[in-house]
Amino acid sequence: MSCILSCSYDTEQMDPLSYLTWMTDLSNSFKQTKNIGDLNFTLQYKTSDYIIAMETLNKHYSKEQYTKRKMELEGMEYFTFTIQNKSDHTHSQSATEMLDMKEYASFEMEKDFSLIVEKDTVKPGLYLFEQQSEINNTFLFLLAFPKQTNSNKKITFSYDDNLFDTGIINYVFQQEDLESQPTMLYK
Amino acid sequence: MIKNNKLLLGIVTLFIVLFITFYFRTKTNDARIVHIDLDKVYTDFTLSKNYNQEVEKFHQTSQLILDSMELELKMLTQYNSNPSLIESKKEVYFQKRNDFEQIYQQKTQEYSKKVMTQLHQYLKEYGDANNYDYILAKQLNSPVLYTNDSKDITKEILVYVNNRYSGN
Repeated sequence: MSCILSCSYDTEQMDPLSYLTWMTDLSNSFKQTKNIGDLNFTLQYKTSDYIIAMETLNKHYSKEQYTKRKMELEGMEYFTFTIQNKSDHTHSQSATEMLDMKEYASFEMEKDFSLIVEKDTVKPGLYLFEQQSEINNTFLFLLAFPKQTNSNKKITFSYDDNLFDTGIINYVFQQEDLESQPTMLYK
Repeated sequence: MIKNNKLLLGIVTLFIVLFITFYFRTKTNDARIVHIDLDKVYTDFTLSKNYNQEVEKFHQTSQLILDSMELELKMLTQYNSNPSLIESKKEVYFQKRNDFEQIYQQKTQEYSKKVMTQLHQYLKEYGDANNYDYILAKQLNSPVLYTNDSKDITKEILVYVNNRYSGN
């Protein structure tokens, strides 16, 4: 029975919106979240189809544009990482402290991220501290790591938190989870 | 009449006291209490091990630098070099040694804080998931004087915290 389910799952095809919904569902391992005290650390693994699906929410790609964009995105593993501080006293952080944190996030924090694929440790090829939302106290980061030849093996995303001093936080993407993702059907 | 009221009040008070005593005794007996060897959990927690390795590496590197400086100082003294040069080298040596000690202390404190922050979170999750009311820490100088070994969940906690840390 489980084989029938998993086999049918492997071949599942989805339209972009359903694909996005599936990818952002916490039960499907591509989005993972961890709480340490008042902090919430969330990681979204983004396949090239995920990125295209996001882009096509606002504009349409022709079949050729879709293929071209997919090729452009190849060669990297993409992630969005967010840190949300749910503590009530965050707003009491001084402006100087906040400025220091933003500066750290913008210029120094890249070194705190790494991707472990089997025994290889890779540093980000692309790193962007996108924003720090004042409203919900969220720091958002966009990251991409060079894809390893042994991709689709177990991947560990590792973040050494020096922004809030909570230590190393790991997220694991198992090989079977990476292989079980549905296919995006783009028309 | 007043005598009767007093008697009634006394009986009611006694009943309330008995009820409260019985209620709290039952509550205490119902509480799910377990304990862990916190020293062992701390030492065998993977994050703690990783940080220990880093601190040890730093200690070894700094010791190598200090040893080479010390050797240079000995050579200078042995060959009767300029005393002011020896003095200035000594000063640099002691400054460096202090700096290393300070960094070592800072690193140890910072890592210890990080390890405890994560341990607290994982213990809370484990306690919630298993409906424990208390997880006590059995360690030297802790106020817990006696614990029944059957309530020791150190092994289970270690597996849990290391799994959570490794991303599972």
